[in-house]
Amino acid sequence: MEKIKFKINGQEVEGKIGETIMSVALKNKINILGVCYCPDLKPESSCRLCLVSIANRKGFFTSCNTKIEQGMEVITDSPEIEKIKRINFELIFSKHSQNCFSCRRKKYCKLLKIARVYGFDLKSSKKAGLLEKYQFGPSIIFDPNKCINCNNCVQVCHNQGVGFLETRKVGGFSRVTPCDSRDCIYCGQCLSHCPSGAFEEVSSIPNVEQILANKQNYVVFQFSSVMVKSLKSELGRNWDINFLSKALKKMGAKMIFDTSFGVDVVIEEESKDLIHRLGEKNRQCLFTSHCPAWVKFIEFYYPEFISSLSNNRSPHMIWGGHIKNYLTTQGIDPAKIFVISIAPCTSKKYEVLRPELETDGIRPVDAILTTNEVCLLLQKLNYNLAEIEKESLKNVFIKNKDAYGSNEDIIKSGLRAFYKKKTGKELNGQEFKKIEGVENGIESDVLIDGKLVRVAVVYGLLGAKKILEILKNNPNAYDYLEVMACPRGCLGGGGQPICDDASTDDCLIEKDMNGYFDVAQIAKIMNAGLKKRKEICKTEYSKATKNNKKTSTDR
Amino acid sequence: MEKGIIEKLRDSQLRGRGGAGFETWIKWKIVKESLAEQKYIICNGADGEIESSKDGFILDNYLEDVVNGILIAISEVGAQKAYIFLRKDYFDKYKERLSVLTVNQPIVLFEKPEVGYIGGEETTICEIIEGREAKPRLKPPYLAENGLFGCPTLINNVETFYCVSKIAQGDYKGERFYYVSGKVKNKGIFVLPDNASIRGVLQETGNCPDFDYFVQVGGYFGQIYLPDEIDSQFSAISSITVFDKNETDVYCLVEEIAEFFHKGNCDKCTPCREGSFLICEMAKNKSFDYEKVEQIIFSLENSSFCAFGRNMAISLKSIFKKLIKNGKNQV
Repeated sequence: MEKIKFKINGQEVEGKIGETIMSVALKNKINILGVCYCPDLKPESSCRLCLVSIANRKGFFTSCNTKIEQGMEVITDSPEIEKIKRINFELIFSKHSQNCFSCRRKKYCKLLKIARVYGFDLKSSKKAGLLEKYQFGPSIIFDPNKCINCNNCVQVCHNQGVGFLETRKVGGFSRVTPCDSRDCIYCGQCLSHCPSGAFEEVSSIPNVEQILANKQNYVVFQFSSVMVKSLKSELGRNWDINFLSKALKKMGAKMIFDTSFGVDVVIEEESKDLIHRLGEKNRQCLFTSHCPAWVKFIEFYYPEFISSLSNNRSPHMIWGGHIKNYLTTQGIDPAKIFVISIAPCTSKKYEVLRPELETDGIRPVDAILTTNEVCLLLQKLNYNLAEIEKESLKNVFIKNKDAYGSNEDIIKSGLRAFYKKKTGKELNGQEFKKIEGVENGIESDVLIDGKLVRVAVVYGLLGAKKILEILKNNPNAYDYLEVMACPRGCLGGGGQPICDDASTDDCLIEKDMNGYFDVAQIAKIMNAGLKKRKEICKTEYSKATKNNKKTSTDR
Repeated sequence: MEKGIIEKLRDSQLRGRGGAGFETWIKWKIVKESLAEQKYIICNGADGEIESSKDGFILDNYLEDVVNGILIAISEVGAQKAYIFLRKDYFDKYKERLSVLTVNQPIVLFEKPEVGYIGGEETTICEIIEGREAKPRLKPPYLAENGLFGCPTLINNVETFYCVSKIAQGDYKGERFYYVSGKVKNKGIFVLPDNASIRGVLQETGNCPDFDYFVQVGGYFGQIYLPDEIDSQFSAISSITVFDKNETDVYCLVEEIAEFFHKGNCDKCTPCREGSFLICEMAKNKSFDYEKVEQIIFSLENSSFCAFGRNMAISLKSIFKKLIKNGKNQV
């Protein structure tokens, strides 16, 4: 495609047709301070801070929504621009309750960055806590006192096909409010896209601390390796998987697992399900059910597709079930066993409370710590790093080679397992290609015994909705559908620490993980689980309504 | 050969009566010459100023002309469908008569939702009709190129369509409707030449004050004029509000206007949303921070997304300049 060449502050830069000044500036590490810009949203252009001027054009332009043109000369700084920025910044800040010290955003807060750059002292003209906070299920808290009306949350919620958040004009101001007739799926994208920290996860830290404080408890942690790199960017270079495991041991964990073991079980079960489905007369596409936000999305907004959902539980729930089952057979009082999952996800906080996922009245997983919460919890530790280093890695079970680096890896593994079961041969080099018109969607066809199996993987519900519409018209368009509710997959989950726009790549997985595990021990756990496989792995999903929140009370 | 309607519009020098004063014939020409298959017409009857009911007066008395103007537009520019966008009270009052007049015509009545003044801004109207949130769009593209549902759209105000009908019939006398209000003897709507001066309107309508006064021209968004400024010819005056200089509390005046802006804006942009609120609060507390007011007006002028903020700046600037000089309450 033809490149557009133009200048920013005299520097030659280039971009594609349709790109905005802001996007090209970011790529060239030219910093235009703005608040509401999100690379993956349509610009709301509400903060009016990212102003620039353009040679031979009257007035100022917001760089987030001004398209680049050949030969244009953009100036990002001038006394007038700074004046307007200061005024608008003060106006924004005047309505923000400045609870900066406890804010989830503080490390990458654009508001604070601007305050530093322009030398503002923070003083709020508004008393904090005037407006009541909202809590969405067991997952997310929204504090309207921090809201700066940028509207990003409403847009992302709408894009997700949920439309739970809307704006309502109350007493002269538009307020973000939850909608009465719709329900939250707890994906937490509002949290990831809020520049002013108005959303945060419901904290499980007190609960986890309480569990750890009782030394009679047998506490087991599991985590997905996906989140480890973001730990490094938050806590420092030391924090690889080993170090995290040692720290958790130091905190009192008896055993630590990689959730990938649960994925192995899911894949085994799912390939059986797929074979079963493909053999059926009126075959239905098999939807994966790893993502609790996706499951709730189907239950609430597309109940006609509930029967398409795999009746497998998600990997960490299945593995939690295995752990509890195994430890019980080892003579440990089930009431004293606690499994805590660390995940990049806010929706799992809701998932672990679903009564239909209990096994014999016991929850497979007792608490979810988001990646962000783990960082907070670890920062509270009193041990020095050398002391943590000394801790042994006994009873730590981390997969190395076969760990699942991304959601795509999971479905590829599923496909390989399925292929092997059906044909006895290895499936190699399976390539996925983009699905035209479906955001973050990829597809692949596999020929198995002369039968074409069509597989699709979609991140984000905007694209997933389109696949659902395709399936409504043609139920055989796909045979196997994997959906993760978050547009960037689990790496972009609502429970991840918030990064700069420019540094999102930091969240990528560690490639050179040192993993190891006692194969015999894992086999014991798996074998113990075989006898109760159905109870541990399966469930039934059903139509959800607003009043049926599907969360049982705390135990 | 008889002249086409666009030529007639050009000869009449008719400018849009919605406030912006754009030459009507140019807008029509752009939409007509567009090669798009689908085109739309919108008749804007949102009439956002609370007190003014000029559009209501026209709908009351000349409903047939308005519909006729719309029908002329439909056939001239080649549109498939027209919307008559009306504020709630107008919608309720005229829907029956309008549905009789538009029977078998591709004209749809559309009721403006409860969204405040911004719901009368042309791009916002498109967003509303398309079923989205009442927020303005980025211009360009202009509606004449890319409007409702992405199609070329001709939007004119109720009064403009009335004038079109008159021009087509050869009945147009270069007149417009004036709404005179405030502290006057004869409050109401008057028809006078298009290019009258403010003093001319006040004299013709028997409303020349015999006390010390100032006027605001064009409703809440309009500028303030002092008695020595009202003789020159104005174009596009639609309403004149007369104030008694000695009786008017400028804090109350600013409070009323700023509150209207606070409630009527779409809350998208920072200066509009927060600035109108802060000025309103200052007025309520009867204490202006002049530096802050100057800053807010500067930001409204230079960083507003749409004309709402820029027009708000014009109004506030003229109030502070003419009525509250040098930080002292002149009134």
